[in-house]
Amino acid sequence: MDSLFILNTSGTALIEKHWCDELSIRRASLVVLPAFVRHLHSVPVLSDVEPVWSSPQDTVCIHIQRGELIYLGVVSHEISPIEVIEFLEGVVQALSEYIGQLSEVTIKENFVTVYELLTEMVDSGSIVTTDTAVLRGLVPVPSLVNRVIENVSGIGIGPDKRPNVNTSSTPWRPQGIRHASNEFFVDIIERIDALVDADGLVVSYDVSGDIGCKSRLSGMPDLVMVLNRPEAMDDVAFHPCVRRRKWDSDRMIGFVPPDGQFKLASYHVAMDTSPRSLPLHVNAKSSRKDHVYTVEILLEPGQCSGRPIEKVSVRVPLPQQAYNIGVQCKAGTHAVNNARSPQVEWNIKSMRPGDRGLRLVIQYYVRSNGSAGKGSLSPTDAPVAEQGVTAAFVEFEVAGYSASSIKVDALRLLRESYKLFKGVRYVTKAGTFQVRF
Amino acid sequence: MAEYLSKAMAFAQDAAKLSKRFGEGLVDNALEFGLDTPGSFYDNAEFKLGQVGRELAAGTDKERVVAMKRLVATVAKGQDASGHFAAVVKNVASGSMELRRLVYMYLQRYAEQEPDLALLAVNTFQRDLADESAMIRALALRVLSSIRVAVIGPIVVVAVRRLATDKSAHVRKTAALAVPKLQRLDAALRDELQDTVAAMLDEGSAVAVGAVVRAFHAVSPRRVELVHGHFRRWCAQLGDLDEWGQVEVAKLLVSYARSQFAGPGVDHDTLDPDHQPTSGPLDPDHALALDALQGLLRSRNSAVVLTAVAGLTQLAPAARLTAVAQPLVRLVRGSRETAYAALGCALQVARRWPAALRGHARSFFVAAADAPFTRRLKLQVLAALAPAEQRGTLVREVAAYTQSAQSDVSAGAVRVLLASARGDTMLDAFRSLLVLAADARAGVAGAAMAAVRQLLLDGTVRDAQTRAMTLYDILCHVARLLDGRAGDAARAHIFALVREFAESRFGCQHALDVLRRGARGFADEGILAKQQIVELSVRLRHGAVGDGILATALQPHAHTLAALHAHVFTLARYDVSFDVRDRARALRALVPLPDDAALPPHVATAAHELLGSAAAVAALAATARPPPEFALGSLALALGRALPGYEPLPDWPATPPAAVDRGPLPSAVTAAPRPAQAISIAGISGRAVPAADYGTPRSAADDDLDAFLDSPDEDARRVLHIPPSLPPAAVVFEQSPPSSVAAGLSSDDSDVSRPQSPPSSAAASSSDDSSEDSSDDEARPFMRSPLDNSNSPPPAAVEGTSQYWQ
Repeated sequence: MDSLFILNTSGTALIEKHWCDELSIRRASLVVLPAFVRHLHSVPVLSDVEPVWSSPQDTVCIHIQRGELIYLGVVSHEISPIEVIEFLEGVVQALSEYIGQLSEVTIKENFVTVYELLTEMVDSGSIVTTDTAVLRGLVPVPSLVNRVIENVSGIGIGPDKRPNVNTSSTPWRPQGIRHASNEFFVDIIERIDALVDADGLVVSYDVSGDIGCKSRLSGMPDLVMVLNRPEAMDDVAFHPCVRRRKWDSDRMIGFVPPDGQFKLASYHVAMDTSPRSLPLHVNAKSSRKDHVYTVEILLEPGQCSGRPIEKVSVRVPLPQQAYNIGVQCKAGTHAVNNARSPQVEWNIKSMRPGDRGLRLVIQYYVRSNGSAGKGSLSPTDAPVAEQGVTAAFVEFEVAGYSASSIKVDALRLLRESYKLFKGVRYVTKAGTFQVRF
Repeated sequence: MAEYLSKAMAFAQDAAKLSKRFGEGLVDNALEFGLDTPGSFYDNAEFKLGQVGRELAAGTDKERVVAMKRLVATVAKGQDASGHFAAVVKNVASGSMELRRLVYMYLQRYAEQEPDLALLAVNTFQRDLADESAMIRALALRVLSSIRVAVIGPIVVVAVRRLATDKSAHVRKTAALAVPKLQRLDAALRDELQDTVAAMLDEGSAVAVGAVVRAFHAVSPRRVELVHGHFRRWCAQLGDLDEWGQVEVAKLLVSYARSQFAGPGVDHDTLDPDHQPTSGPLDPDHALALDALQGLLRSRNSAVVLTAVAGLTQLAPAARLTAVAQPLVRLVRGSRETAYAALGCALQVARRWPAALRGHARSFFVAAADAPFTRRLKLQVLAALAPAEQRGTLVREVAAYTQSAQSDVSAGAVRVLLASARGDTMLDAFRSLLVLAADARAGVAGAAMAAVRQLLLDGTVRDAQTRAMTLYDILCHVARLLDGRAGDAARAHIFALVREFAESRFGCQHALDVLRRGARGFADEGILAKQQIVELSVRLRHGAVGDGILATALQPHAHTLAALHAHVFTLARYDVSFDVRDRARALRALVPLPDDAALPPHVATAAHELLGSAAAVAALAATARPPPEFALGSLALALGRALPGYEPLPDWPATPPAAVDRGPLPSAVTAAPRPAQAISIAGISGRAVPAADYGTPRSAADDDLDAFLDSPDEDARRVLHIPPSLPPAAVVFEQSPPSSVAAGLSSDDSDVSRPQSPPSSAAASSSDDSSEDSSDDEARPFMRSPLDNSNSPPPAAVEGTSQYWQ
């Protein structure tokens, strides 16, 4: 890895960091970066730019886009693209843990911290660490209190503390952590990725879950988490603190938790794709009569163990040439958004299981193609695909419900004698939930 | 009383003075910091560079920090701040850690430009190398080795050698990381470094192993003999290293295994998953490496996962590759960029070992919100999987794609359709393709026509056509498409198809008519179609001369053909596209027009051969170099060309080298009552670490994480003086009745959650037999620490964590 740039979406470099010799530095910032920005602007939609781009002068640009910022790595030697991508994601993760919400302003405000972190994460081009638990030992976290004191009195108290690195067998957890109250919270967040086709058939239905934890425990606790159906998980990925062997033999998650917030595990459950299995049934139809196109969407809540389905939102992108768009619905609010291409958004605050289905009807006309200059195509000859609606996107959230019915059965604390306060929360959300017409 | 009064007065005066001073300071600081927000501090840094010299020379620590921040901001923005090097170097020995860090960052950036001044700082660093704080030692070494000034190379080598046996693993890691930098700085240092690195390889701490392996790779990648003794230890330790260390060590293990073991059979390409490889059992060490790599597949770090996937595809027998499917699919569901990299790998796996991804085609279905590159890769994966996949869902899905609003999805779907056209569904697929060939979107029609042409040419539809439709029907249908608005590529394919079937019984009948059609609209055709018309013309002209079926068919129209041919060539000669002009010129040299000079006899025979037989063309095409194959997951693969530093994977040795001593076998593997992946770290606690070299002996418990973690609960309780009857902390979860928890635990996990495990009691106590005997000693120092700390004031770390919770 030669250089790293943090750019805003217009292509201005906020921070640049180099790990190469003077000549390569000049090359990266004077030749490669401008070329990359030109390339970025040559593609109409920013998110359509391919992450790996072969740039001039035998260099390669690998970038990721997060929020309003673009993180660009420039390499001139062989390195797996995934390593650079994963590293850049690690940078994003570490920065957001240090300075919170990442934006152009916060990066500028904390440029010293950003620069120090980048210095620690990479040593002359080879990636050293992206683990925030390790980094916290190397670069002090700027706290609000420290910053205020420093700004007002001019005396820095925090950063002068000599940092210390933890080289014990649990690098993610330093010794001697004390908390007044010992708490451990588990958040199980499941995302539903589903594809429903025009006939109401569920083409694919996957649940990916994350077990997030918030730990405020003293000392060196050893926890064992028991899940109710570990055998249902067909793929699991763990935080390094998890003992793999215990999982292999007993299907229990045994770990010494890092302090603070962390993602303990993520898993995947392949779901049954029978028609009524989804927590929210969506039926979509589109038809055409003369010049009027009609789209009909029917939402019906499924059985989410009695929990209400909240924040339901249906987004229907309409074709570019649609006009005179009319929307009818009995419940919820709807909006027609005409920003780049017209789209209809339908929001419903809450649906209870057993409620009657809700219906949305959209009617619109399609302008003939004359303005686009393709005079040869008369509207009747264009394929349905270009004038009809092809997909609708659904989002929703169900609190207190896990789609895969994976639950935490027990959480045991070993090796520490104090009382432990625990809590578990389940949330199911729609990931990429797509209905095809 | 008066005494008290005067005291109070003095006190009040002091207070007034203090408050006045504080107030002034507040105003000052507010001027500098409060109004000047940090953001604008960054924005204005380079305009205030003029003050930096003054601030650095005379100011207090605080002012110097401000000055340094200005400099760092300028550096971070990519502007030149090298002018203040001399003033900055003076601060290198500052007492303020904050200031020093800033100075170090500046030094690393500009030392190369000011080698003479940089030498002034070296003394300070050398003093720091002996500092009692491990952090300072490591920092000094890192900065020292990052200064790219060749003169100090030998000094740094000495420092690296000394700190390579430091008692802190963090310092040893820094020493190892310095090696590649030195190697780059001055290649002449290689020999010295090689010896240092060879000694470093005994490293036992999980923190430093990755860096050591990286150093080894940089200095002496070819010296396999140094790896032998560490191979088994690294395999066993792989799961405990830090993530980037895992990537590094896994790569080394793969390239080592490729050079040391016999290949696991050559039948990687088999489509049949039940097919057993023909070779014998794997070398136990080879299997050890495979198990270690397979353990990495569950990492949260996608770089580790993909490295392991790539390693497994390179080492494992085809039957074991199904293990990579789930992890790959997991990454494909990840973020946009991770999915991109994972799909690149999945595509290679799907092409080479489609059986490994069998049953996972669903995960590669295209979502409407996918970026274009994701769509393209997903469709390519589907096309590669199509022949081996179950038809039903895939065909229905692909049919939906052909109606997609995105024409690239539809075009990709056509290719999937082509790939799935085998066996009994072939005819359906072919019919759909014919329908799609009339699609209004040029890209889709072009792809469909190419697919139709390919199916017709390689003869797969031959059986079907006799039953359902004759070749004549197909050709007529296709030729009729020329009257429509087909795109350039589709038209080119139609003309090519007619040319290719001109010699057949049906094709000869309307070839001339198609040529006439082409000649008439020649000016309006696209570049590709024009070239094909020229070729069609030559083909007919050439065929008419011989005595084949085409010649008989064309006999009555010889005059028309000659006229059309001359006309087409005249048009092509003056075409706007040089491709068309070139093609026409080349073909005219092979098949001269009537008023051209006749060809010399040997050229005529060559031309006759070239135009007459497809075999000659195929032979010519075969001489073209095939695209090089690159290792899975490499940047070279993503780009299609190798960057410097790319090393192709070594091939399996024809005869594996004789067995060598690879160190003691980890005990868990030899004992192995557990599943094969379970590798005990406890077994390697007896490794050859020269503990005497280190300043303070490290306790074994520091390294043996698993031994510590797995030591039985009873022991831990005894140490903590907790009566065993103490109930485990009560667990009250939402939605689970509290009373059932304790009972539910003991009954549930014995029969539900542990189906395969042997009937053992408490999980923790049974999980590791090998560490049981040692855990008594190892657990104790560890366990005591919380108790000791409980009386002392809360250590500094708490402060950091409380910030975290704000």
